[in-house]
Amino acid sequence: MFAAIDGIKKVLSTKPYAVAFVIISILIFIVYSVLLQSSALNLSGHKLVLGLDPAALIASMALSTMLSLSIVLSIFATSRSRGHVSKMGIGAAVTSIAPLALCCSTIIPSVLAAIGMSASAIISTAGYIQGPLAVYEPVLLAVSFVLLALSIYITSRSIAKSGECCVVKG
Amino acid sequence: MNAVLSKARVVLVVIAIAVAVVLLAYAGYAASHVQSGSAAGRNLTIGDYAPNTPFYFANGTESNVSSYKGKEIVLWFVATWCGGCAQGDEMLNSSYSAFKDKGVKVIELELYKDLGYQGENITGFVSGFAPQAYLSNAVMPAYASYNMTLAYDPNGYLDIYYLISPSGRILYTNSPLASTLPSLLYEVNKTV
Repeated sequence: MFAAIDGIKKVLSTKPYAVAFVIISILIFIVYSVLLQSSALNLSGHKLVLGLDPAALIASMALSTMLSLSIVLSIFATSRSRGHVSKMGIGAAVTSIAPLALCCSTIIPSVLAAIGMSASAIISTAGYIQGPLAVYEPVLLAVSFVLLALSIYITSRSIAKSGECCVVKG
Repeated sequence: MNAVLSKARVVLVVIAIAVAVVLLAYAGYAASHVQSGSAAGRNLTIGDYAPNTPFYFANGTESNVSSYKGKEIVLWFVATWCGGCAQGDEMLNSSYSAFKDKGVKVIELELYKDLGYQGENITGFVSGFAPQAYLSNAVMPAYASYNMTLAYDPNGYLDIYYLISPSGRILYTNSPLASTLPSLLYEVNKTV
């Protein structure tokens, strides 16, 4: 655990990485704050800021910070060794963004139309894809948090343990 | 040399993420604004006559759009697993009196078989997220028939609505309700 904290400190004490972390955090926060507006997490009715409830705001901030940290750690690791970008970080990005972006927007019906499905086929099948994404959205977000935490832990520990020469797994 | 490469890599990743953010934001914007005339079917637009199709109330009573001739109504199409639709109900719950005072009924219609993935029943959905609007009868839960879903929502979009005039013409249409309710209220105030 302490090794992981040392790894994070080491990366964020390097100016370009600290700046990149802040910029990427802000950009990703913008995306999550838009996507979480129509989320099941945003239904308490007590909007604090940006049309977000406390739960959705905290989730946006936590996801953007963790994903940004995961990205910056991966860049640091790959730029100093033969390490590779954490698959868990990519998985977390997918499991957090996919349900938010696809469940209730026009993307899925538009894709089904683009591949040539008829209107009657779309209205009877779009829900098969969108419905589970909406219903299991909280579970997928929880999975994202776990994957991000693991990704950050494994990458930062590798960075701390291997000094300038790190091999990242995950 | 390594430091320069490292810096360049960081800059490239930040640029790539910025581009992804812009694309995602554009996709979100495009997705939240219903387009008409896609490959699947043409959405009804302002000025069109509202197709006279059947729908069903929770008690099984069959009704149709033309039975509301002479009254201004809002037909709102939702899926009961859709978080954005639930937010629309929450918004309606706090401003239903604006519709009620003008005598405008909001008929909240579950799209045919919830577009293939059955969520909770529409009455439970409306009474859960818009309890006051439901109890005051300002928002009426109902089930859209297959023909109604096909006529009003041929692209299978969620959370689209139509404001229909007493003569049966579409006065206004938009999506999603939660973020466009002020515009709908403006249209209601303008036309009633």
